[in-house]
Parts: sequence; structure tokens; C-alpha cells
Amino acid sequence: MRDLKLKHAIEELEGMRYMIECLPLQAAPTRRYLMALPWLTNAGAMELEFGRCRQAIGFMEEEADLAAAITLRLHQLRDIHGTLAHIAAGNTPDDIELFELKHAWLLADDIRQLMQRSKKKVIDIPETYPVLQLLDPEATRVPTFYIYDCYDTLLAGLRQQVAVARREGRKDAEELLRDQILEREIVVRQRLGDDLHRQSQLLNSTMEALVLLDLVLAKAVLVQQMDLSLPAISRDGQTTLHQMFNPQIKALLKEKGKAFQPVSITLDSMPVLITGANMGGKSVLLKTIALVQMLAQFGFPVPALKAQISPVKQVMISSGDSQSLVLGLSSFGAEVKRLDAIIKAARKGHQVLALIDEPARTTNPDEGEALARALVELLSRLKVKSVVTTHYNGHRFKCRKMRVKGFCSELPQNLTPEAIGNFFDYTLEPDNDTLPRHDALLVASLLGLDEELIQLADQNLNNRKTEHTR
Amino acid sequence: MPFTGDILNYRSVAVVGTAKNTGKTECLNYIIRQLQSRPVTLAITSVGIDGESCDQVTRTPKPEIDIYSKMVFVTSETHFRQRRFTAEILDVSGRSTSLGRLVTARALEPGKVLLSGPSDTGSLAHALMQLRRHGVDLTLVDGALSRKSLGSPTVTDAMILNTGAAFSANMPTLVRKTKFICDLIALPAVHSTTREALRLMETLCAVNSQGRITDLGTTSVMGLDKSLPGFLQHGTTLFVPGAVTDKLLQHLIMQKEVKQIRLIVRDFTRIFASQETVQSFLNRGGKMEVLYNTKLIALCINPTAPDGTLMNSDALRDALSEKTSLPVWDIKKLALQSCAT
Repeated sequence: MRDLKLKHAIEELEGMRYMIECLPLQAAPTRRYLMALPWLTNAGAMELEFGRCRQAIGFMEEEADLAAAITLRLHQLRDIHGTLAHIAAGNTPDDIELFELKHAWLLADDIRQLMQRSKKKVIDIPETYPVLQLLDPEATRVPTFYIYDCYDTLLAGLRQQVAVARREGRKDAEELLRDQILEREIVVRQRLGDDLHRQSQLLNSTMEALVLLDLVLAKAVLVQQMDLSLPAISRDGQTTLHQMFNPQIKALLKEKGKAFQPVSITLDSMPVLITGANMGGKSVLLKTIALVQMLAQFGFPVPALKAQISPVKQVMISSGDSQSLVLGLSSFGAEVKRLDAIIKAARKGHQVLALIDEPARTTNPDEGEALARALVELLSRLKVKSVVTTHYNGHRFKCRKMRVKGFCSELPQNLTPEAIGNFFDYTLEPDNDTLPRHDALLVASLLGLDEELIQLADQNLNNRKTEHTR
Repeated sequence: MPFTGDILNYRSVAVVGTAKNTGKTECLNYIIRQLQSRPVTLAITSVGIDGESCDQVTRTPKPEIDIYSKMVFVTSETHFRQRRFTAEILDVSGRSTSLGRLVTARALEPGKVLLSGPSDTGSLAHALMQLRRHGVDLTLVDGALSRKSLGSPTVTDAMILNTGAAFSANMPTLVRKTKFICDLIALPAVHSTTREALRLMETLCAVNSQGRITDLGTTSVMGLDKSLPGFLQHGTTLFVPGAVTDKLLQHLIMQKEVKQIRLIVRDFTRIFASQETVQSFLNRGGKMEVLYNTKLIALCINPTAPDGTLMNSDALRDALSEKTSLPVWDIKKLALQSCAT
């Protein structure tokens, strides 16, 4: 398995991309760093990151002026990874690179001093003096650069001589001196490059600290903007998601003046089967569980009132709408591949969170149900932490079962399709092997499907029940 | 000193030429020399010049601009590295041109530099703003009047036009063609509210007498002969986002409402129609306006051309001055005079 980076996660889950795009990052280098963020599986590393977030949230709230001053400076920080790599490789930087470095380090120094005034321990910015004294030898703190006279007495002398030759109109002498100056500047740059190369580690750790600071402050802003929370790390394998919501859908609903109904669920190391009507939010539920788990394991706050996360090695999603066309497989073919990957990972003993949306729904219902039931049984045997949704009859499955509550008992007359959501309860309740509810026809009828078609379907359903009783 | 005093009334002045070898670089170098002793912070950059150090047409090396101590200049990374004098870097732009990012620097001693500044109008406007933040009083812009150029020098406050024997070897023709360009530069600008409304439009638009804008949904004037009468029902003011060609104007001339038609062009550099067609459109009662205009403050002449053509400088100056009512200067003569004094 490849090392999972954030850039892979945003390709896999649209909700993840949405969250990252909402991050109010200030500094230009942060995005590059962000894409390479690693998947955290170590509880200690996750707790360290959430501890930082907690400090940052307090910092933003209690020291808003300081935070604003830092944000302003982070915003001016440019992406100089090319320059840093060039210096780290032992190359001689040119004046433009030295300017970039000086510009960045004056900002770093400002930020470091501002951070030192804070009571919070968000991020420690390393000492800036060793680099600044090289780039700002006259300690003017002006963000401009050239090869200063004070770098080299020989250079300073040549520059004085060229000025005299120019004043006296000695063209040939002037040109000769210019060549010598250019040569000497190269020597000075080489020396400066060597001195900076010796500070490579400090250069990189300072830039990383600045980027981490930008990132953690952006997370703190997101917590406030989206009502996110910092998850606790569970060490007993149990994941509890209390009042979880999907920020992207919540924002869409808010635009229409509607509210997102939060959902709670607990997962242990066994499959949970979710049943419920169409439009009951089952797919959204799976994607939101995936989102919460991924955000937490990349060290981000999560969209839930409260969450306890048990880290896993991998989140594996199997849903009908993934890009099977790209692989040239039929939707069933693509699904088979994904399910097989989940089972293979489980057999290897990998801790995975498997989120499977309506397995085997695209094939014939007899075999489909047999396959879905077998899948749940195998997931139970292999003790895979998983959530499986289905429209097949839940009472034939052997595992923990939950059901989307669904329609309120009394529906108003002339319910419009847009208003259906208002009379629908998206919360989950334990499903104790009750008989399957037939909400599909109700939903179809509410959506305005042809009446005769609905009536015929209803008759078919009744006929089948009678056959069964016989 | 002639006309350099005038220049100081503006924050930015573009220097453009009607053709190659009309003396643009000499003109820039002359202005720079004259302003050297003035207590102003001067900056120089270019727009829409592709920045090749060798001229693509004549294969002659591109001229370098004289920079004096304390002067600010904006050029690409590539050309910045080629300089042979000490300069303090003030800023490096985020955006990149084909020759790298733009470097803003202050010369710490005199020298020469190849200019390759912003490539498009928006970047030029941004650079002009940034230069003010660096304490620059006046920015000179080496501009191109080329149809291939994405950068129009019309975002500057004022303009100096260079013309000469290289534009036309026949004096009456030269005067007539130069006068035409002067007229285009002098086209009136639309009201600022109209400009704001049309600035970002990239399609043909009609504006009615109430100022209502209708997006006509096309960028091209192909097949315009058939659709034009329909378009004009939405308003007789037409905004053309791209080039104004002979064909477009000929279609307009043929409309019975030609007297009511007001054509809005982005700026004068977008007018590629011939003088005859433009004149015919205006004579029939049509009007032309621009979103951006600039003030033409002087003409500079070069009476010689590389092919050996030599005109009488005084006669050319008088003829142009009479036709355009603008101050006209022969830069070479001025330079000689200032050397003599």
C-alpha cells in the first residue's frame, strides 16, 4: 500500500476536497506542504496535533490582535522551496534568491517575535538570527537586497575605484574594473551560499514551523466557521460520532434556508447494517463517516459535536458512484474489485474502516442479496470495522442493525418534493428485526411518479405478500 | 528643457512608436538624461514587448536603456541577471513572463539594462501601482503599438508618440498617417460608469439609451451583416471587446441607423481598420469612443530611416505641428543642443 498523503485523500473523497478548499490559508508555501501531509495512525501524533489546534483556537480568541498581526505577515510569505532546495544542494544562490530568502526571514523574525509575546504555546519558530545576520549584515531590516559592500573589503574597494574611473571618464578602466567586480561578487555569493548551506537544517525547520503555524491557525478559523470539534483518540477500538454533519451539504442546505439534521453512530470492530428509505441520507452518512475519519487522521478538526476516533490504517469506500468508467469496468465489475480489496486488506490483518454503499445492488436481486449477506457475514468473521447500507431485507442479515427513522407518521396533503426533507427524520435507531418498510413507493409517489404505475406496483407487492402467506 | 517639464505633471508616461526605428529608445534615453538632475524618483519599464534581446524583424540587437543611479527599473529575471551594474532588489513579482518573474530594482550606480516588463495591460497597471508604493514619482513605459501585443500602454496617464521616415518615406503620407494615429489616441473616453460595466465583458454588447447592456453573446464579427439589424434593436451603442476591422466598420456604415451608432472600443490600439474606413464611418455620422484613453502630450520625430531616407527635420516638424496642434520635437537635434550647452 502506498503511503497515504492528503493529496490522495482529496482525490478519493469530494468532501475532503471541500474542507481543504475552505481552509483560510495565508502563506503561499502552505498548500504544497498541505498536500504532502501524512496519514497519522499513531495516537500520540494525533493528540499532539489536536493539542496544537486547541492552543491555536485559544490564541485566536484571546489574543486576536496578535493573531491578526501574524496572519498579515504569513500572507506576505512567498513559496521559496526552489531557493531552499537550491541552497540545501550546495549551489550558489543568485541575488534574486538571496532577496527572497531575506524577505522571508525578516517576516519569520517578525512572526517569531510576535509569537513570543503570546501566552499560548502554538508553534515554536526557531532562532532567525543565524540566517538574518548573513542576509542583513548592516541590520537595517529593510526587505531589499544586493551584494553589500560590507561583505568583502576587496569588493568595496573595487566599487570605489569604478566610481572614480567613471567620474574621470576612463571608459577602458571602468570596463576592466566592472569585470573584476562581477568576478568578486561571484566569490562573495559562493561564500554566502556556503554559510547558508551550513544552516540548511535551520532554514528548512524554520520554513516548516511557519507553514505549520499557518495551517494550525487556518484550522482554528475553520473550527469557528463550521462549528467543528477536536476529536478525542479512542484506544479501545471504538469510534463514537456524536451529532455528526456534512459541512458541504450543510452549506448547500443553508443556502436554501434549510438545516442539516446531525446523526450519531457508534462503531466497534464489527459491521453495522443500515437500512432505510430512499433519500434517507444513507450514502451521505457513509461519506460523512469517511470524512470524519480522514480529517481526524490528517490531524484536522471534525464535523461533529463530539467525536472519539479509533485510528485505522486505511479508510476503504465502496460506493455506486465511483469512477468505474475510467477503469473500463461495468459498475458491478468495479464493485467486485473494491469489495475484494477490502476483504484482502482485512485478511492481511490491516485495521481498516470499510464503508460499503448498497453492495451488489446492480445484479439480480436473488444473487445480490445472497452476496450482500455473505459479505456482512465475512466482515463479521474477519472483525472488520464497517458500515454497510442496503435495501435488501434487513432481517435476513446477521449483524448489528440500524435504521434511518424515516417519514413522520402524519404527512401533510400535497407534499412537494422539495419539502420532503422537512418531514423526514434522518436519525438512526436500532433495528430489531422488524419487517421491512416499503417507503420506496411512498417516496416515488411524493416525487410525482405516474399514479397508475404506483398502483400497479402496490398490487404486485400485495400479491407477493399473499403468495408468501399461502 | 523642452517637454520634460510637461512630463513631470504625470505619474506615468508611455513612449510609443508608429514603427520601428522611429527613435523610441533615443527618446526614452533623452527623457531619462533630462530628468536625472531633477529631484524626482524615476522608474522605467516596458509593456507588451516580448523581451527578446534580438529584434525578430531586423535581427539587430535590441537597444539597452540608460539607467542612472537611484533610478528604479522593472525587468524580467533573465534581463536583470544580464546587467553589469550594482542594483538593489526591491521586489520580485509572483507572476511570471516568458523570461521569468519581474524584478523591481533600484540602480546603485549608472548602467544599461534591457527592458522586459509586464506582458499584459493588467500586470502593467499593477506594476504602476506597486512602483508608487516604492516611492516612485514618475514611471516611463516603453510601449508597443502592436496588434499582437496583449499589453496596451493606454493605462498610463500620458503618452509620447514617436514617428519618422521609417514609418513612411513620403512626407505627406507620413504626416497623414501620423495624424490618423493622433486622432485615434484622442478618441473620447466613455463615462466611468459605462467603463466599469463593460470593462470585463468579452463579448459584443449593445447598450441602449437608458444604459441597459445586452450581451449579444458573440465575440466574432463573422456573419455580422445578417445579425447586425437585430443587434441594433437592443441599443445603438455597440461595445466591441476585440479588434475593430474594416469589415466591421463597413457593416456599420451600411446600416440606416449609422448616424445613431456609437462604437465603444477597449482602447485605440484595438482599431485595425484603415484610415479611409474609419473616416467614412465618422463622416456618415457614426461615433467612436474608448474605454481607456490617455493624453498625447508630444510627438517626437526621427527624419532618417535605416534605408537611407532623409527628410527635412524642420519641414516635417512644422507639417506635423500644424496638422496635430501638438508640440513636435526632433530628439537628435535636442540631444545635440543639450550637449552643446
